[in-house]
Amino acid sequence: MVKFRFPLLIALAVFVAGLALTAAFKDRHYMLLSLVLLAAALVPLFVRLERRPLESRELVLLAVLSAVAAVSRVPFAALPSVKPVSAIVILSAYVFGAEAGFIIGAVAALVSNIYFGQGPWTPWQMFSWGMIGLTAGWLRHTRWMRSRAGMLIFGFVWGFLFGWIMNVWYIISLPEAFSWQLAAAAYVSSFYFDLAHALSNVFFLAILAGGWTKVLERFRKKYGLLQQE
Amino acid sequence: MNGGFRSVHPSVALLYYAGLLLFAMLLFHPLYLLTELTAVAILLLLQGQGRPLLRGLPFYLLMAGSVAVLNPLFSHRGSHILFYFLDQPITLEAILYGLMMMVVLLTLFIVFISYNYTVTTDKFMYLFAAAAPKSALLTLMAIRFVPLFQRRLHQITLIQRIRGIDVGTGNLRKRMRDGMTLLKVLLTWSLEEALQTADSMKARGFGLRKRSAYAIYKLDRRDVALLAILAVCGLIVLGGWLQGYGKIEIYPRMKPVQFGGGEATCFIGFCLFALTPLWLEGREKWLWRSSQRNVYLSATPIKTGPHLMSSRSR
Amino acid sequence: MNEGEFVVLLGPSGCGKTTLLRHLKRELTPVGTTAGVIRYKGQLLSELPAESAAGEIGMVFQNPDAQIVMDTVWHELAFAMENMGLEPAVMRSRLAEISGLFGLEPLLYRSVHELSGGQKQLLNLASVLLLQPKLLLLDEPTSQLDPVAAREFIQILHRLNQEMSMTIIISEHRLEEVLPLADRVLLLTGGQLRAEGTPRDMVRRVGEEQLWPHLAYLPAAARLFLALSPDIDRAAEAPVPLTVRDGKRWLQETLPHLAALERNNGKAATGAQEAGPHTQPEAAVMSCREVTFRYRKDGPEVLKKLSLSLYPGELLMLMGGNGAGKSTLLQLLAGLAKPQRGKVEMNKGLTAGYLAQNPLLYFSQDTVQEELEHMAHYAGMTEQTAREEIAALLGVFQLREVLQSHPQDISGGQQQQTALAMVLLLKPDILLLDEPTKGLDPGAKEKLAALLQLLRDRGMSILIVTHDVEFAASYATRCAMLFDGGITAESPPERFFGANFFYTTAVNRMVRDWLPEALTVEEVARTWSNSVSRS
Repeated sequence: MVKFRFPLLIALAVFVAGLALTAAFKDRHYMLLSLVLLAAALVPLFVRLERRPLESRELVLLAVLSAVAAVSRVPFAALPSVKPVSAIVILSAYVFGAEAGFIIGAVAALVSNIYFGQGPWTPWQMFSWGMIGLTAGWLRHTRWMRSRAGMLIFGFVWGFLFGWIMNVWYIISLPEAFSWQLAAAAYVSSFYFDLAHALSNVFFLAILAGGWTKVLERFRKKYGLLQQE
Repeated sequence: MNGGFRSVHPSVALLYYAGLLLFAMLLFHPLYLLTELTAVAILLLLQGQGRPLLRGLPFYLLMAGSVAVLNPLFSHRGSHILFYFLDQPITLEAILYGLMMMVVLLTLFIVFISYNYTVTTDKFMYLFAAAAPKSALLTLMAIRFVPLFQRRLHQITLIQRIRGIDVGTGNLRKRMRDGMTLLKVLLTWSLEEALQTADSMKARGFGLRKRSAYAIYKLDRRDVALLAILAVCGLIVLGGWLQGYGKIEIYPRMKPVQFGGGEATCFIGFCLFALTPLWLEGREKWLWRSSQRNVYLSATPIKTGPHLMSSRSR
Repeated sequence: MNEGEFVVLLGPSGCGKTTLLRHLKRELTPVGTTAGVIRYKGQLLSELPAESAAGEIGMVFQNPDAQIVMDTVWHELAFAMENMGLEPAVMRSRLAEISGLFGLEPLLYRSVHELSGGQKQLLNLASVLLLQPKLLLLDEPTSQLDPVAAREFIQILHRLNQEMSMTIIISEHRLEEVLPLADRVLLLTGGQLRAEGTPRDMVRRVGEEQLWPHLAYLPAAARLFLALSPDIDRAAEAPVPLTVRDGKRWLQETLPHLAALERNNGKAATGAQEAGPHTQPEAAVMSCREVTFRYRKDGPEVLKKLSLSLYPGELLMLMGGNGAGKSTLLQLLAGLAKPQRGKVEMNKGLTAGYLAQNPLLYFSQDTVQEELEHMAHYAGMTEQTAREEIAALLGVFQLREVLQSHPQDISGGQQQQTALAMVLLLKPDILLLDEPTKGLDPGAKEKLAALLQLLRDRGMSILIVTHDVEFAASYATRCAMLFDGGITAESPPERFFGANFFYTTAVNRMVRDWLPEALTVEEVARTWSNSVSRS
């Protein structure tokens, strides 16, 4: 059974991808295709995690950060649309690198949806938060991210990008109606939420970038791990 | 609470839900979609999950309903123009397409409610671990931490209020900052303790060799049979879909719906696929009810006797 | 170390117990320079195959929560076996075995966060045992447990040792139960082995040599023996009593003066009464009247019409079983939660300071100094007064050397003191402490008691919630028992424990036939020397 697992999974993936392409080209039905593309973006990064040897400390560190990101909505329950998840993912990636950032973002999305309910949005959230972590990790050594303003702009931009990506799966359900007006309508309707997200990112990064990076740096030394890259 | 469809092997449940999602996205035919929607809704009711269904419904209707409204407003293809709205033609085809999309979205939502109830975290993780053991372990650990952290966060909130760090008071700026301070306390504390977690993992031999997996689920003969039924029916439907069944064309003009022999085979396969869990759930319900009736009649005749009499005298 | 031995490590916090245990567990050997060799079964520990090093040497740590990795009980149990790559069938049968041994079957499918602390620690032990270790290392495994759970845990260790001949090395502060089971005791101080021997030898050596500071580690029976034995013929070489049963037998056999004691006993009791604190109710500084509380609307009532008063200058110790609602009551008194019915009243102008069980909850800054300054700032002090206040507190708590350390990096006792100092910056008139002695070694406990005395001298009234019977008996001015959501007994410690049969100090259980109100070794010794000098 174990022997056949990987060929079986690959065969299944190819099969579903084929179906998705057929549906997309024959019927202009893009939902399935979008999921396949998402999976194609997410899977290689998870495969990397599977492939490399993992110390127990690394694993625990990633799990703790994901879980903290997942419960971070709790203290702000009283303040609507203030969610520090993105800010936490950015800071973690800033300290621990792109791969860790991606994993923390994606797992945080998956885990928090286990408590808030899975839905068609789960893979999209995993993708968005994962990408926030990934990009923040990639850029962490650039002068741009090192500067305070650069990091704030990064958080602001991702606040909107996050909302836009989340709009995609909704727009995709209307392939026939696709037009710039429709996209504009969707983005206008979500503008308030995206703005709140972007501003809270900026705020969180502004006030706590110092405090949190200090804590994370301290533990990076203490764990003595994840320094490569 | 583990009877009926919840008692099947996780792989059966996953195949079923994966199939439902796939068909909801592939089959563009009102008959199929409505069948699937009804089947899952009835399954939820049989499983006693009417309440979560009702609770989520307004949100889902809003999401899905907006699609039905937006499509005719932005898509002007189609040959039957009904009227003009703000100088834009509103076509019958666009309205029908929007309605179809609404049903697709509703189906997806409801399938997920049922999925959340049937495929519990344990089961999902069991399957996930088979494909990606390390990611699954990481996710499981995060899942274990979440309730622990929630409890800690509650304590921290309580205590930090003593020193004025409180999300409940002050202006927005202060409240947001205090919320993050609370999270920072949680983070520091948890990372500190997690070092011990890592030690305890290492002490128990983590990372020495390839991990094996302990499973509490057993694939029994019923599960194998179910897998076979679902697979065969699913393949029939997919085969039919490749032949061009199970979809209707709305654009550029609606074609009359034909229902021939091939279409019927495809639909029957689909019904078998969608309704199998209902049969399991219903059979179990019926068995319990009948066995309950038997027990009451045979084991406690004396008790029921006077009760019956009193009710009769009333 | 021989196979099948039960070895107890003791010594003050920071003496190197944990470091020693970690050296015995290869995977966890701390970073640093190491000299000397450790052999396991004649083989160098560092040359042992990795799998037998992990499997045959098992280790259980202090904190029950931090060791758990998985979310359900069965998965946590399987975790260790999965690491070793065992076959599913093997895992299943081992799991069945251990569930039977520990009675874990009803818990198997529970989520781990529903378990109590004792159950969690048991789960940790079981998970380690599933690898079938030959040597079990335990690092203060009961320090975070309540007495009932701790006793159960130690009983299980005893069984493993007796029935499986498992070698056990345990470090402990709570020796009342462990010491009688030990084959050998090692006393560590400052990273060095000070003494070694059987428990009975150890008691004698503590008595004879200059090891008096470590007296507090011995069980009550042994301490009583040492306290009274100068007057007794020590050459008689009577076996040193370690348990309450032996202690009582020893008292009966070797004390010819018992009759005299009994005669004096009435007098001693009245003496204690006179010396006792003001039990006559004057105006209470804080009181709650018929308080009822539940956490959720449909939850059970944690407190039921509870009434309790705290009087000026007293040290009230509140006891009760696990989950009796002690901590809840404290939070209500501190104003952190509101009762559904009843009233918590405090005298006008007074404030209460609350110290929770876990000092980590109080920290949010990067150094101890910043913590204190932040708190002083919040308390509304000017910089000048803040500096003075902090300096004064640092003097009292002896925290000066850790001022620039991160609060997470200092010892547990220091963390508690820092948190207490932070609470004191708010200038409370009433102090509410939740289990302050948990996990402290005897030396730290004495320090805490002295501190509490100092605070009382300054006019503070203190309410402590605790499981620690010995601590309450030694230092409380009044004790109260919380049971089933209400206060069932409330009196000065002599009468409180004198009236109890089971829930009392070990000393009292030994001497209660003669001195029903004597609770500590010191009291017995005092009465004893009185009666000896008189006769």
